[in-house]
Amino acid sequence: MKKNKLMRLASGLMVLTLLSTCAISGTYAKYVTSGSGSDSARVAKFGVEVTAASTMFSETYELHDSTQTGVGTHSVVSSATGEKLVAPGTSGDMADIEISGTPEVAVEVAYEATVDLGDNWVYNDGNSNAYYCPITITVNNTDYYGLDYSSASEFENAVKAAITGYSKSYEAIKDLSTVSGVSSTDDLAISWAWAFEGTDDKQTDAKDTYLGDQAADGSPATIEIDVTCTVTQID
Amino acid sequence: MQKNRTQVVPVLLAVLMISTLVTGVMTANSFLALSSRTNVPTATLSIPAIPDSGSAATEMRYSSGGAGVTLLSASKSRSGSAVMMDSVIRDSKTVWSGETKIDIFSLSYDNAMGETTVKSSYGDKVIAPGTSDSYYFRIENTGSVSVDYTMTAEGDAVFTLNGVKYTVPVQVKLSNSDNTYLAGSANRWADVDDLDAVSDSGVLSAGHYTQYTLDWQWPYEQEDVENGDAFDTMLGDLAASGEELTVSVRFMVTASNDEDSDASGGSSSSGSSSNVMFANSPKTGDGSYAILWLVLMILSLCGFIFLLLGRRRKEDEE
Repeated sequence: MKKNKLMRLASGLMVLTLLSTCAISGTYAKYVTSGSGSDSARVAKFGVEVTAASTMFSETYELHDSTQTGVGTHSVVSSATGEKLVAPGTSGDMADIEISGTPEVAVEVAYEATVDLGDNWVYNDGNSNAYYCPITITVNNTDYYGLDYSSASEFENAVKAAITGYSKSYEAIKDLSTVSGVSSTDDLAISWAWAFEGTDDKQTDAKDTYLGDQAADGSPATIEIDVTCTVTQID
Repeated sequence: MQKNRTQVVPVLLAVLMISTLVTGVMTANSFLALSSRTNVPTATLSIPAIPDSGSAATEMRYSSGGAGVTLLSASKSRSGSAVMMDSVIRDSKTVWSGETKIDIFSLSYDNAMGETTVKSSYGDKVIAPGTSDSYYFRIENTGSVSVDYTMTAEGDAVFTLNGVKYTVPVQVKLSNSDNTYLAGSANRWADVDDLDAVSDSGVLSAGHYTQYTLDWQWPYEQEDVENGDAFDTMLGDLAASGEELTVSVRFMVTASNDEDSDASGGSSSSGSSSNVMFANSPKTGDGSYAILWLVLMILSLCGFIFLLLGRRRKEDEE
């Protein structure tokens, strides 16, 4: 009995040994390692919109002197439809530029301006023409008085520099609607005015009248202000 | 004499059983490495180690991830010296296993002054004009025999809008350790889709690696492209309106043991001149001497057979 048990045990171990040997030999097959790496990204959002209305100058201006009666409600009215005017006692504001969008990139909100006074802002004292432009342009509470400059081009450049220098940068994911409009401290405000009465000896009624007479003779002085707002991704 | 044999037989039986069991466990583990898929936390299965002297038994390293466990690497021992086939594909942060998400693109990008100029709103990766980066990955032969490897790539930057195909203007360059360009060149950027034609293969000696460098960029200003800014802006506006415009890149690597175990190739892992910091490769071997157990098993088997034969002869004589 004991011998049979021993033989059975021996036989069992033999089988186990053979199985192990087969397993070992089976593990010498060829091995393959493989792997892949991948990544993807989406285009960052932009979606910025800039809107502005052009209402700086007008064809008519309201009467401010309430003592005047029988002259209607407007003190200045253009005789040519669609033709805007400026005159002593008139003023205006540039409509707010509205910016919207929340881009995923940092941006610069930049302004560029063209100011064109033409060649007719002059007063002739009988001898020669001399530069005369009594208009004041205000850029964010800073006044630029035309008669503080010696030429039209000097006045133009000063106003352009003031508007262009107002550009600002904003970080990514900034709601740009909060940086424009009247409620925003970053808003660019531009206005103009031609004083009815001069506050210094530079502006006189005689010179203002000369400009009006020149306009009636077909040589009006003109003023053109264009402001462009551009929102550009920062590199 | 008979008394001595009676004492010796159980001892031989015991030795035979132990050596058979040990060898069986080792080989059972090898099958587990090749076919097991179970949810286990990160763990290392190893045979009790013998102080390292170069030869190795078997060790498998697992990591949990996704739906199950993925084998990172497998090493096998052969009789004789420590001979292992083991290769690792990885970058500076991640060892690739199966389908691996890698970091070619980012959630945000900074300019040269350290200011964040591009940032994702939703925590997903983005690209924009002016963004760029470089990605490095390696195929490392951490075993003791040479391996053959093949690397292929795929890239996609095309989308269709109203039946018209557009390409996001991301550019790439792909080079290997020999500074050979597989896509683009030193002076020329290639399109992302040009990665589809990339295929590179070679041999890595034991302890050697090959490294790939992917450079990509979305130029801030597109040279020689009319209305480049307008096109970029259109893409950004489309993205803001909800269109999913994506760029994707994929690398596939396969490594297998070379028929010539001493074939040479690759850069030595020691004294690497790469400017990218790669952490040390994970250890996958231990110091167990499988051959010792095998020899022990054979010897005990032979001894047992000898004793059995001797007993039978004695019985015959009786």
